[in-house]
Amino acid sequence: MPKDLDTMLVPLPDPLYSTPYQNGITDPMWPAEFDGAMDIRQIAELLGKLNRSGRLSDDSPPHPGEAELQAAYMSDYAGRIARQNNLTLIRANVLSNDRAELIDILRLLTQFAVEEMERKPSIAHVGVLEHIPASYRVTVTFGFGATLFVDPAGTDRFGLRARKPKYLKQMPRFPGDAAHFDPARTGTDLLIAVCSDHPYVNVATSRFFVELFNRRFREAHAEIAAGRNLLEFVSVEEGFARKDKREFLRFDDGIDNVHMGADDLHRFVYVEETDGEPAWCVNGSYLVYRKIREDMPRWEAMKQAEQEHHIGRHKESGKPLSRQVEGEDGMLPVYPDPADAVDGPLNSHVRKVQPRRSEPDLFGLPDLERRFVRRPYPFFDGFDPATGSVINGLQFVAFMKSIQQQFEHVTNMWQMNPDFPVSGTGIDVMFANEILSVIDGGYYFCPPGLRKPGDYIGAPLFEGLPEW
Amino acid sequence: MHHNILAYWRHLQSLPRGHEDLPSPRVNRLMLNMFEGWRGQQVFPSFGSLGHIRDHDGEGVMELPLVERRGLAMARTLELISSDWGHVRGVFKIDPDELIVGTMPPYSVGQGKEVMDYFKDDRDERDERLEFEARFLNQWSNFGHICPNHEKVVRRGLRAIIDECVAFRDTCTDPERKSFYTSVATALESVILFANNYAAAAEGQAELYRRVLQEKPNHPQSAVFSERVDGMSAAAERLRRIPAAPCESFTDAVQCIFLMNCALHWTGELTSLGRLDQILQPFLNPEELKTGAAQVVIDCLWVKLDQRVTLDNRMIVDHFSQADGALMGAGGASNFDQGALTNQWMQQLTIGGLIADNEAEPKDACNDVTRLCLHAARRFPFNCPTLDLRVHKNTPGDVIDLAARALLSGGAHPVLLNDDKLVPALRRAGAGVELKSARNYACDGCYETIFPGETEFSFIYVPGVDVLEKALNSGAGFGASGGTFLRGMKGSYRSPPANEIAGFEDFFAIMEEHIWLNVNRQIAGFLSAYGAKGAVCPSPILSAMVDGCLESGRDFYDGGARFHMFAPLMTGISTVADSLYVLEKLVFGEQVIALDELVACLRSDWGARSDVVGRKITPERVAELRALCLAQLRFGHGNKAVDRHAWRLIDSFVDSIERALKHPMHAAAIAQLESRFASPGKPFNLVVTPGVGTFEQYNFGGSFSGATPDGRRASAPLASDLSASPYPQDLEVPEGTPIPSLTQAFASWNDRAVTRFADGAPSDFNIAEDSSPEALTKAIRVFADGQGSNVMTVTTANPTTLAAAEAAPGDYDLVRVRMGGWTEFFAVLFSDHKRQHRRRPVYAV
Repeated sequence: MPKDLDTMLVPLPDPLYSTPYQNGITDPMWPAEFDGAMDIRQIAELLGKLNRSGRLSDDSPPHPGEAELQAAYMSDYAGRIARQNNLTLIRANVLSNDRAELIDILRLLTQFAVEEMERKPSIAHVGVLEHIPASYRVTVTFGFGATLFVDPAGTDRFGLRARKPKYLKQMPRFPGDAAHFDPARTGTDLLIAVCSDHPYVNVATSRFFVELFNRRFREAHAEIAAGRNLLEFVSVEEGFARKDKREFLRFDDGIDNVHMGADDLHRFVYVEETDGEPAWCVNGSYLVYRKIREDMPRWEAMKQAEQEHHIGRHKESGKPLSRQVEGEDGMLPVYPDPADAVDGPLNSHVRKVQPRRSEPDLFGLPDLERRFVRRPYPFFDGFDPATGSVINGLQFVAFMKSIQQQFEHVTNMWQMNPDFPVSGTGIDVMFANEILSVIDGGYYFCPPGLRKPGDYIGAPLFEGLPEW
Repeated sequence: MHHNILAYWRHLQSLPRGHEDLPSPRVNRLMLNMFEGWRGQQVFPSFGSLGHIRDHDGEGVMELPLVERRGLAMARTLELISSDWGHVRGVFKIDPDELIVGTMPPYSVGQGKEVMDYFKDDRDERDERLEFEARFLNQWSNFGHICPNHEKVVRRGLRAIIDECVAFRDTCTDPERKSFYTSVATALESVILFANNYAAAAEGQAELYRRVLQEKPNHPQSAVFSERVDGMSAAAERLRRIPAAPCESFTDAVQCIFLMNCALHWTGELTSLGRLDQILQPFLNPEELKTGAAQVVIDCLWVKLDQRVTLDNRMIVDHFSQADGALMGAGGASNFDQGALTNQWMQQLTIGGLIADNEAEPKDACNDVTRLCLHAARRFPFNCPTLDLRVHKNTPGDVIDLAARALLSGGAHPVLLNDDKLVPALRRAGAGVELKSARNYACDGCYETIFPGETEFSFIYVPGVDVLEKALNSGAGFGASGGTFLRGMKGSYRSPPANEIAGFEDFFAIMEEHIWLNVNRQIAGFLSAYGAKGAVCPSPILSAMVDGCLESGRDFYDGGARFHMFAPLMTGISTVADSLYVLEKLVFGEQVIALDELVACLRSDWGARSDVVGRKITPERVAELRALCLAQLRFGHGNKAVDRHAWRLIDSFVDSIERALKHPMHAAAIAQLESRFASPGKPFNLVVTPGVGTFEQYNFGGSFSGATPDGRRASAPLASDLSASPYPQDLEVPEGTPIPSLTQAFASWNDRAVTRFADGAPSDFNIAEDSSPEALTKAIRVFADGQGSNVMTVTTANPTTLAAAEAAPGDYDLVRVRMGGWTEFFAVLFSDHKRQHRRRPVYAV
């Protein structure tokens, strides 16, 4: 079990502020390979192999050797996202149809974000804390919604229609969505994802956007009428990470990503030239947001075996129910016959979302090419008087290079397809049995990262645009 | 049949590798991207964004004759579209999986189009813009509805046609003809440039994937990327070669036809594709057929032709002008039922039928490509191309079977046309029509029959309901009676009032008088306007692809085509027939309703309006009479008692046309046209093909009409084409209404009168989704053997499906219905159309 990252001496990976990509998508990331910056003692600490006196633990004789520690690091950490502890999602609509104003809005938002990311922790503004880290690892990630390009009435508000990322659209409804959830109404022009290691930082950063943005904009633009807002903030959602990387259901599926090299990770996440997207989208990424409510009383009424059959993994170890496993940590299932329930119920979550067939599908792609990066956080929204239970679940945030070929393929063709892998299987049992239901969400496209100081988010979108 | 895109994909996923309904991965990837585009808004060039030719070529260009300015405007349009200009606006696209390259414009009959302006205006010495718009014509007036001679370009290549054009220009002395040839050569050169720009884009794509493979040879998608390198390289090589040069392969020919189709549509001419199977078969080699490669090429064409669907009617745009696709002689603005035409691009494709020859014995023309097209129509849940299958007594059984299976897949493809009825009718339609032309007919973009590559075509409307109303109401319509007018809006002879009409025959004679006046009025309008578009919206690319134009040195719109086809169309025949039956039986036969009592009901829109003149009757009596009228037999159900009224009406209408064209009233106008457009060896003859063109205008046409004796309310939709009437819009269809089988219903069209409609008389049938393929095959065979009308369409959709689709369109985005001459997605239709379709009878098979 890894230790509490807050108290570790091992330096956590920092966000990457100067890559072609926006930060907060695949960074901060544990180094994919040993690069000499981390010594063996730090690795041992990271893996929980140090005792209180700072020596290698003696509770698992013989003492782990260097090769073993390195292998364990490669298995559990290398190339994985070192998520911050806290997530805030801010959604807003642009109250303008003027392209120049939109650019100014994006400039100011970028300026806000850069200020927050560059701010160093100080005893002055978080004096209550005992431990002031070197960085709160703040990332601010911007996403553009489909309505920024063409509004629901078909109006090209900013002359951007021809540059809309080709898979960006309003999120459709899926089986398992709560009856009251209408994704056509919850999609917004903008989404701002703020992550940091401390909730106070998220609160402060969010207030900065939500409460100060419009005032600052008016101050910077004398021509804007008093009282006119440029952004309408629609909602602020929060999530937090558990130290054990699990979520409320007490399984570790759905939170972490499988190990892959940085190149692989980027291949699944960031738009490349070969993806046929508008040129400005290269190095950008689609963001899928689904707020998944978890019915804890219903879940907790089940026996462990039943829960394991729902998820398709063992609760304690997290290992799959399949007869064979693979991967250094044995976490990857092997399904010799995708239609054989002997390796786990066919409608269990893991079998519905990743059948892992090697043969190319009807589009010529093997199943593993449908993977994407998840960056979800549990949430707690208090009490629901209608049901008498609390509202909690998972802020499911995922990044990918194609909503259609990744998230929607997985969801539509496998997870929510009642006839996959065989006729009559039913949809993902977690949704079929109403353990999970989606109550909010939206699709966004995260533009590439800033290219130079003074750049603004989404700037390539506006370059070379015809007159409008 | 799949109700939505997701169900379709899931179905494909469930099919074993090699299944005949499973397209190749390449085609599936293309289709996936295409479907994504369907859900959003298709990218239109914005209003006026193509600018004016003087913006591109300077003020000096305005000194040129209009036809040369038009040629230059088309050339600049194609250059713009395929350059950075088009790229940054999202209208010039290439997908690396494509085998067939090119981008269709989003222009549709419903949404309109963008064309580059070339008119002189108030800045010039002559204000053409004002002059033409005042006559309801403009730059958008190109009619489309034409089948160009694609075979000519496939066989000869554009370079040879340009050379021919230049030779004509250099030898002719008439400055107008010289300008015409210059215009054609300019426009065709730009098509070659257009192709070269696509070649460059394909080379760019090939280079991109080649580089990625060099950098990452083990890329997980290296197999797909390699395919893309090969496909794009081949496309680039092909587009450097064709359409400039003659085609050498099956893929060449398909690419050539599609690229020319793109060029025509981008320049404002929404044309059809013709007899694809006859053009392509000579290029097909057995190996391509055996390996399935030919099917993939056809599949790729299908995907290209369907790129521009809009499924969400909030995303429809309206670029229509007052004179888009203007009908000659209409004397007013051209407006069509836009809410029914969102995805109608005129991309009609005709297959099967007879070999186009003059031999005494007809020979079946079905070939391998016929079957490839039918497979594609069954496999893909598209609305386009609209596939037309010509059938006859000797059409092979497997083709009939493929047609039945395609129809049951839900797309209302193919339309079925009976050669044994249509070929003789077309042969008789005008002087100089050779048997081989008649045997070569194809659909024009809707269902109308024309001789591909040698015909210019126009039509006029004679509204059947209008003449019925005029006969009942002393020359006035019922639509505006009360409120604005007393007995109604006058528009014809002041014929005797209802209480003076003694019997049914008297009534019919009065109606024929109104038909006669209306026909003459329409013909006069047509003759006076004929050829007017030549001076307004010449069409140089189309002129190069229609026989007769280059030979005569005349533009397509200036009488240049070999055949001048003219289709007088009577709309609403079924509604009128149903009404005539009510009059004959209830008014003059059983005499349970007095004619003036019925007229009072109709003037008041079955009791909905009180401010009307004439006999006053109680609401209870109105309700009683309407119920009685609604309970009567209907046309299209195999009841001779009512069907014969349709036949008689058709005879009267066609007789009137034939008589009118010989009437002295029009002699001078016809003589003038002959003198203007005839040339040595090329006499001017009208090929007259009457028909029943209600098309999608069952709504628009009905909207002008008052209530009718069959129980229909004022402004309510009519029956479509020559089909059974839908149940009235304001009422739900009573359960248990008896509907005959298809083959029983065929009797409604089994009369010589129907075969006089050389333009085609579609009988539109709806059938249930679980209909038996074998039974439908048998029914089509019966049709091919001569039963029924000369055109038959089949929509497969249960009324419950249509009701559910109206409530939740997103869950039924693949449900398609047959419109006039095309298929439309039910979800995108305007509500009145949806309601009309839901009320059509569903025939047993």
